[in-house]
Amino acid sequence: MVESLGRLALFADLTPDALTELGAVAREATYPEGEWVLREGEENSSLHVVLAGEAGLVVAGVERLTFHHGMYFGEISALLGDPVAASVFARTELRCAVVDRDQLFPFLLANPSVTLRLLQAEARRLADTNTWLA
Amino acid sequence: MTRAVDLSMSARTTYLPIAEHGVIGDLRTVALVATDGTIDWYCCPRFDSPSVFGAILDRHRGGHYRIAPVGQEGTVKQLYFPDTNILITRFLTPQGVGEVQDFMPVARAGSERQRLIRRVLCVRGEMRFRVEVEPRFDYGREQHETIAHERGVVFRSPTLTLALSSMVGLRCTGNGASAEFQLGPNDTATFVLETVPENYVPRAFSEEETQHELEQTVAFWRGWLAGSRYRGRWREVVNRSALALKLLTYQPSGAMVAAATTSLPEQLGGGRNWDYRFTWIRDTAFSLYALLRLGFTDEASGFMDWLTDRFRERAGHESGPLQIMYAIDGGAELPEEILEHWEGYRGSAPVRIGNGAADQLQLDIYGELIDSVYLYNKYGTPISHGAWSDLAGIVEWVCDNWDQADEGIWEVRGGRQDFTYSRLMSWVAVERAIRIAQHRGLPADIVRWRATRDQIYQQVMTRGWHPDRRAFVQHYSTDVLDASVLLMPLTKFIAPTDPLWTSTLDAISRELVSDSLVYRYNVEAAPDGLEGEEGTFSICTFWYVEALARAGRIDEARIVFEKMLTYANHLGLYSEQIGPTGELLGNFPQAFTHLALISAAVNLDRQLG
Repeated sequence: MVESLGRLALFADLTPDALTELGAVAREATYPEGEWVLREGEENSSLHVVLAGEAGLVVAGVERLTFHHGMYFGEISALLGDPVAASVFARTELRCAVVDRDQLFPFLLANPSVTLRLLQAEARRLADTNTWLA
Repeated sequence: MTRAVDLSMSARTTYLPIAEHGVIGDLRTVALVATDGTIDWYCCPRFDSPSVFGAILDRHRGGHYRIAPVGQEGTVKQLYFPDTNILITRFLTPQGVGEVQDFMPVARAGSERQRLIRRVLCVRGEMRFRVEVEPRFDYGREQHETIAHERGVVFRSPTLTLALSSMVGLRCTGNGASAEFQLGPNDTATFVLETVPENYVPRAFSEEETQHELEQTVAFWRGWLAGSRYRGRWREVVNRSALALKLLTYQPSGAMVAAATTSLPEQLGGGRNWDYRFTWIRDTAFSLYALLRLGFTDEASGFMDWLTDRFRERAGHESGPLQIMYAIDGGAELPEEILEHWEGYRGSAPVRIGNGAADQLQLDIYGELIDSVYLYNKYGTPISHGAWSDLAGIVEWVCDNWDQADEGIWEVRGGRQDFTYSRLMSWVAVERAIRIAQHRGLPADIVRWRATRDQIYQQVMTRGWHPDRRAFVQHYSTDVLDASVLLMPLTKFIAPTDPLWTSTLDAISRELVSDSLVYRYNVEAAPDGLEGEEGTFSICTFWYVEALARAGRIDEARIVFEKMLTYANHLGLYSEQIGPTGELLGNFPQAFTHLALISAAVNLDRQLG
């Protein structure tokens, strides 16, 4: 898992040592096709990074977005501590690296490059959304 | 024009024929798109930059970018969106019909951004496509990182970073990315490959944005082509040749490459493989001449500015006011290097980059250059004082230096000779300069220039003429024929009906013409210092057409021309040569062939009335 994490944008700048550390705080989770990964309103969300397969984002019963290799979800409620705002299910068999909230904060503080990447990616999501709204 | 190709003939498992390619570009570089949906040649960001996709020269190590339907069954057709350089590759399969639309937006001056856009469209049915992107930076010599983002993948090498953006989820392979995706009727998926800063985060391109880029690109090419004044026969073919020539222009400097590739072989398995991604004075002058004939003057003006810089840099250089070729940015050093790790197109090694012929002495270039300046002065912009001063300096140099052996037009590596063609072109240089001076009343040492012009003329007539062969020959100490003398009537050195000329034309018809196609010289009779045979030289065939037409042999000229048109590929594109079984050989697409096509069409059309 550590090697495949290193190819993802979020963790691409990590040193081998930091990657090993990430391997220690992240756990691998697999979901069969059709299973819910996150449910709307759920507490204590974790950051999920897609390693293989596809996940679908469902808002008010409508599938809005597909997460695939290299994408992540759950970060907003993990960062804010809010309940999950939209459900996610496994569109295909899904394999994720999962970092829980209590592990995530110290890891982000210790690895500013990941924090920067996360910020860039959130900014890109916001910019893309603005483009579509324009 | 379209043609069916078996989908199973993939560039991944074999080398597709050179003819099975289309070309797109943005006036900075080009990409070759094979009929199986594979981009197997792409240098970034310039024509002469190291390749990122080079599978055409090594299918295993070269790198490629393929988009094609999953499955083997079906046929492929390829065409240009009318009057543009936007290429459409169409896949017709039992599951449906799909298209890949490939284009590169032409950036505004000053913009560094370079994009290669591939838009996939399902026209009918349900289609499953597979995309594979395997970049290999610096001709496969440089390692890179592959980083997966939400909206695409970033390929980061020490010298170049490319982002592939798409709404389709891409999976990283070892050094590349791939995905399979399904499209229903009228669904589209777009892949944008672009040069980006190192830490770029790929973004989503909306369908509207892709449409906008496509429309802008269509408008650019159509706007450009509208500048053509040609209304004669074979207009589509002529227009395609003009579009191909324009694609070979490097907009930032105004220079033009001789061809878009390196080392596509002149003979399969042979060693005659050269890098043509440079600006030859000769090829560019001929190209501008052809474009000027059609009414395009901007290209000539861009190149004149570029040339002015070259004169100034080289002032006082003993081997002449100009080098025979330069890098597109004007760089004078083009060290030749062999890529040992590449096997070459169908095993045709070596693959060369750079060009060792750059320091050759080829006296003909001044003739071609001044002839195109003459035309530019006549149809474009009257020559400026500064440019005339430079030009007069060149003419003085030619007057001092024309009477010496050189390497000649074909860049043979067999030693210097007194080539008839080089003398002919020295005559053209001085003769056209006299015309410009007289027409515009510009200062010139006319007495000296005239004396030189006549001296060259007399020398060619006596020493270039072989009394036993009854023909003008390749150089002064041989009896071998050479197709380059076909330019004697074309440059108005000799009347096209002069008995000396018609006898030469007959000799060329007998010895260098094979089934309407023309060899540049007889390699066995004239050792050129190189191993192996070559195909017929397409520019020579078009010169032959023009020479026949001007000699009044119009029916003959027309059938040779029409036959020659059948050797173009399905898109109307030519490489440098044609092999014994009609295959395209040598670098592709090649300016020389297309410019000669234009000139032959214009002249033949005029003769036909």
